[in-house]
Amino acid sequence: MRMKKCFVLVLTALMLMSLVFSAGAQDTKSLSLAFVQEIDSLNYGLYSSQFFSSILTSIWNSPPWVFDDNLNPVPRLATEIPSADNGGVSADGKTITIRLRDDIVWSDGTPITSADFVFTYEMFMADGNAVDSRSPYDKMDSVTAPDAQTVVVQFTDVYAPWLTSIFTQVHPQHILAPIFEADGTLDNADYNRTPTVSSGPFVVSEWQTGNYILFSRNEAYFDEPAKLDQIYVRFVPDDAAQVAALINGDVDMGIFISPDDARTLQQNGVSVVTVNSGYNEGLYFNFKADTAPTIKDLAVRQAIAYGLNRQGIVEDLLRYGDGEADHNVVATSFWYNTPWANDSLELEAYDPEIARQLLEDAGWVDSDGDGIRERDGERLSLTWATNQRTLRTQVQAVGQQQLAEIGIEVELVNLPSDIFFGSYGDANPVALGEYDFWEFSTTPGSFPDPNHVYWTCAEIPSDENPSGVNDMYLCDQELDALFAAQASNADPEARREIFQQIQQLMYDQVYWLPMWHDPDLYALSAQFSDARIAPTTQFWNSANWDAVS
Amino acid sequence: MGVPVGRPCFIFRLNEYNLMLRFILRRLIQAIPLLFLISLILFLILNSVGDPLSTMGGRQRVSSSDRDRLTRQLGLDQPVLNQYLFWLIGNDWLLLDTDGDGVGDRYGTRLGVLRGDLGNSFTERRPASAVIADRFAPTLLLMGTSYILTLVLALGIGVYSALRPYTLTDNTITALSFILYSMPIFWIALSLLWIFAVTFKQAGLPYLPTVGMYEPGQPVTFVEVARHMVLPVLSLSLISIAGYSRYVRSAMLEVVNADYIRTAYAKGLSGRRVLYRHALRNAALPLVTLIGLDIPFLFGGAVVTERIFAWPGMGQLFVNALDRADYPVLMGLLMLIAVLVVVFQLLTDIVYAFIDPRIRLS
Repeated sequence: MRMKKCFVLVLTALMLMSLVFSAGAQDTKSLSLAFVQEIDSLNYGLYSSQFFSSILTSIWNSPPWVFDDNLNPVPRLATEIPSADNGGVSADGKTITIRLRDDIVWSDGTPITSADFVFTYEMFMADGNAVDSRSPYDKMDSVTAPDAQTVVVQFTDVYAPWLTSIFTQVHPQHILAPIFEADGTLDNADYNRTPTVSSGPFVVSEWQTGNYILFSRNEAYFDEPAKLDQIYVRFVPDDAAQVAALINGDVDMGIFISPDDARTLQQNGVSVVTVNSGYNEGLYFNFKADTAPTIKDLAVRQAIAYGLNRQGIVEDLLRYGDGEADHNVVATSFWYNTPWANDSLELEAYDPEIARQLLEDAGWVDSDGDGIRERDGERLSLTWATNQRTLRTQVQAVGQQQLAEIGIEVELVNLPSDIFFGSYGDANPVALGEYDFWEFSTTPGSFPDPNHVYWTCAEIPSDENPSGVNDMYLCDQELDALFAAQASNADPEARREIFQQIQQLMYDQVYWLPMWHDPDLYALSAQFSDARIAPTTQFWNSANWDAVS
Repeated sequence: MGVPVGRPCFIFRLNEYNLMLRFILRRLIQAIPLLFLISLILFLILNSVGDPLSTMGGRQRVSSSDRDRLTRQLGLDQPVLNQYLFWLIGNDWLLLDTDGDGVGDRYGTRLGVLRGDLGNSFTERRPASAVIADRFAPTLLLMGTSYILTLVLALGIGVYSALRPYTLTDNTITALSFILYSMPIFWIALSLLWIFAVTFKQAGLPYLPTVGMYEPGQPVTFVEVARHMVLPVLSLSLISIAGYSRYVRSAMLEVVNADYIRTAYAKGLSGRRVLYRHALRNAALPLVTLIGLDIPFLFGGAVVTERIFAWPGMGQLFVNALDRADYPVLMGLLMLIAVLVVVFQLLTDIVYAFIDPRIRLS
């Protein structure tokens, strides 16, 4: 009898809970995005450099302009994009004047003015703030506000990539100045993770650590209001679980989908879109004076270019659909598929015979018959390092076999990411010059601006410059001069011309060997409507996103 | 030193009580230098294996000037022993050079672990204690549930097996245990996920959620959380039950053949009474040791299971912090486990004294 009572009680409780469950289902329009990484902060630039934090920016924080899916700048807080024609860029190229709209407000109704821009600049430069990066604010002399709708940015020298790098987020002075005055820093401000005001189409409603971030429509948004009521960003760290969640409809967008998973998703009715974010995977070579004499031989690098079947690798390992367009392509330069690319460069076709001939001509011959070439007693044995990403380890294995066929012995090295991407100052073996070549994917630093400093002489790491990023130790005076010339030239056409020369020189000398163009793959559920994902400000049209049933 | 006949074993005489207190106090005092040593070793190891700045550039390398500045501002330019000292006792007594001119210009803000400050997470820029605290409840819920389920089922299966040694049932259980025990957790977890969440849904059957602790946007109810717990708990428990039931079985097997069990039967006690009051109690001793060793690690969460089911627990936090060399969070997590190990070892010894009258703490 007692058991029976207990059973009835439990059953009633469960039914009540189920009722709560179903009654709670609200009639809200929402979409869920899956992130494989939980972000550290929403305050991108000041306290986060994470990709996932940067892509959320357009949802909640409006910059002066965003870039659409065709990489065109679209004004947001600004009335127009500064240019020489409209007086926004001074004749000497050092002064940028941003004119702001007079109807822009924070979500609490406070007007967004030039004072917020000045404050944002000051926060980047304040010694009390341990910000992730001061670039490009450390290249400015001043940011001033002659009136509430005018921001004047004064660069010390011409800084060509200004359009893609200044004020990617603007912060509210009226909220943060009191905190900075009280604490002397914004390092610990709650605003960094849960901003109380927003200037984008959505406001940040809630961040459940480890679970999700909830964005709700900003009712005070100064542009067209968002179509969605809510956006959830769910943290789903495991790739396979992300795929399961996408197939089951538990999330509507997946990011950084691997080609393998893209295949599975497409078979289950989830669409996959490719977004070119400027990334290209490639091989970096070691030119350090006191190590690795072999790889400094141009013939060896050229032989690798002809001896690796890059087209085959791309088709075998990076194909994700049935169509021609459903796999990546081999890049031909570091700036491949950008407006700055040198399209005259042709991919070295896979040809082991040419590779062998190049090595023979350079004196690399297999004199002892073990299949590996030698020259002057030096064995043609190289180390190929990368991190532990599965795709890269697969590519390494294939590449090792192909290079063995032309008489190059390759030892494979796989390092954890935090070590692989470390610096000379941290005794990172890559930066110390311990490997002959290594592989990773990156983009020009301020993409879509083409500026890049990896191969400049000033960035060679040393005891005096332990943070230098030129792990290749390459110092080609001609290349260095070209990089310097483009960085200080405000004329886009002139810069484009310089970049043609840079790419030609790097191609001829095989200073960098492109492996494949590395666009980001996004998965979208059938429910997701009007997602025009852009390469840099990815969610620039989140106000137009809609959920269709 | 035995407990007088007719008196419950847990009632100590006053001098035994004092002995117990002295024992606890002595063990706690012994633990202090041990924890210091553990913290120093952990700090040195963590500082030598990763670079917190290496991932601060996002998908780009950190620039030279930013690296120099951050190294200084985060205190990473200090010799490692100084960093340990600041972690331990804080740096609010020291003028730090935050502007890079070589002259101290601002007092530090850290209080140090001894004053309850684990430092700020390098990545989340908020107290490491708060970062860890956020994960505490979900981990405890997941791990606690699976552990209790494991103990209950393992005890039942182990005893059942031991009472029927080498029968078909026992052999089947043994075989199943070994199969489950040798399966990698990620395989079990992913298989359960695909079967009960994806395939069941596609087949039009009632299905379970794929990821998370509850559905965002839905009220957080008991049923909602319970539905999300089924697969992760099952993944964790299947392997643990297999292992634990083997311990219980072998411990019980040893005991049921002991003389005092035969004596108990000979005295005319019922089978149930012999089993629970005499056999199981004695068989439980090695199990108590095992539980005492295992419980502290429950607080560390389950790395693989939490990752696959997107459970917001300590295991995920640990991996994230390790990926980004977030020392304050890593130190906090590891020291929490170290302290719990010490505490639970002590508790195990005390429990031993309670359940085994032969053991006294003198």
